[in-house]
Amino acid sequence: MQVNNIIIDNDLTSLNSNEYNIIYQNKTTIINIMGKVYINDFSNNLNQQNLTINLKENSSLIYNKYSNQNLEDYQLTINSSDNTEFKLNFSVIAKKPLNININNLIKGNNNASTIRLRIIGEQDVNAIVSAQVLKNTKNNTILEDLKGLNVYAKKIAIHPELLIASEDVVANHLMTISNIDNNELFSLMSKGLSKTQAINLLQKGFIYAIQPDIIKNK
Amino acid sequence: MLELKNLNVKINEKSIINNLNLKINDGEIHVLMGPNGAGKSTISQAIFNNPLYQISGQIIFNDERIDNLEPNEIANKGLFLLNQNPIEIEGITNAELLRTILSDREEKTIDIFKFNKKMESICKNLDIDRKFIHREINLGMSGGEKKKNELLHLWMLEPKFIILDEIDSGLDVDALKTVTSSINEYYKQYKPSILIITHQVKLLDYIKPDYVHVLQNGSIVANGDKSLAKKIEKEGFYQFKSANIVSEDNASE
Repeated sequence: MQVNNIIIDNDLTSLNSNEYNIIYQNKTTIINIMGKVYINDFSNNLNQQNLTINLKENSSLIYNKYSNQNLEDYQLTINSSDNTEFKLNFSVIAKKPLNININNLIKGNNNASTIRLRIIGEQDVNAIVSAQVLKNTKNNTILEDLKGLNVYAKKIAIHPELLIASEDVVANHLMTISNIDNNELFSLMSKGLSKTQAINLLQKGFIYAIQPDIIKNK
Repeated sequence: MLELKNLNVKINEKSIINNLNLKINDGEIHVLMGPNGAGKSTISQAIFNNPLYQISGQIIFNDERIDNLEPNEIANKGLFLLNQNPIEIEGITNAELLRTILSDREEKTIDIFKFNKKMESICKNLDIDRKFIHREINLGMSGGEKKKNELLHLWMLEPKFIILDEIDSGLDVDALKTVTSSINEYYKQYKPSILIITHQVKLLDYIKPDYVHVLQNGSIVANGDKSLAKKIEKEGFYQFKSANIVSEDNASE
């Protein structure tokens, strides 16, 4: 699969089967996905982003995003039609107070959606992650896997929402907000890492665990 | 080399280890045996000053008290703990962990080529795929793989004193042979002191101890050589249940 480095400065863009390393210029963007698409989102400088993704029939998208700078407001809407697969891996270190609103709207049949979110709150975070399945749809599966690491005693609120109007759906959410695990900390320190090094490494591990190498190496 | 003097350990105000004394000289292999719940694993945690435990008494390593040190400072003195249930850590690879420790210890950037070459050679000896180098620490590994993964850390960190806490738990015969033969090979090359914690005599068919101690209700109730382990194999730990301290020619005490 070819890797394309692109800067998106249009309001509306269509992407076909390929891997894309993307930097967005606009705060508001709509992307139509057709085929099998991988996106690595490197737009770390935006403080606001409002992105809509339309997953066309028989398409799949893996979307990786890592942010550790200015992000303050992140709005993502995913519209799934029929026979689609969507995976979001979103890792964020909130350097500023941050609002996240992710909404996956499933309008058709045979869709699979996995939303994985990892948040470290250096500032307060409020995240709403919702998946909505419309009436008379069939065979849809949803997983929301949402974790927050509260090392800095800030207020982290994560709200998973499953709004299901269909009888033929499997929808799950896992949600955890915790501090550093003491057993993990002791285990690393007993190998020779100082407390600070161990905590740094555990934070890094937490945030990168869901990301591919291309994001980690960046 | 390592001496526990009047060691008392509590967890949540409950007394686990009572007035325990033990001395392990350079290059000696000691075994601490005892039934489940005797407090064996607590000793390994106490030696590494796990903050969950309240410790009093003295722990001395190479004539220096280490009971007031942080776990990393103890590790950097040359002690290594191989746990019975190695912790899985998501998102941190073996290479990342070991590189960080070694470059910090040597106070310089390590030679990646030499580092990788050594890791690959250890993986080969441990009969594990070289992909282990870049796998997340113990994540998704079987019981045997976790023990081998910890041995990968041991060989890279080259400790002078090793605590093996129930290393035989969760291992099949083949994995036990590989793990123990790796430890024997390490002993042959580096001559570390070893403290084996176990309740299984079978393990001692693979690693030959110099001294055997029996722990019951937080205190050592018997000392001896390998024949003591054989006695336990025949008669169990029950014989020590109401025993006063029994000493059988323990030259290290």
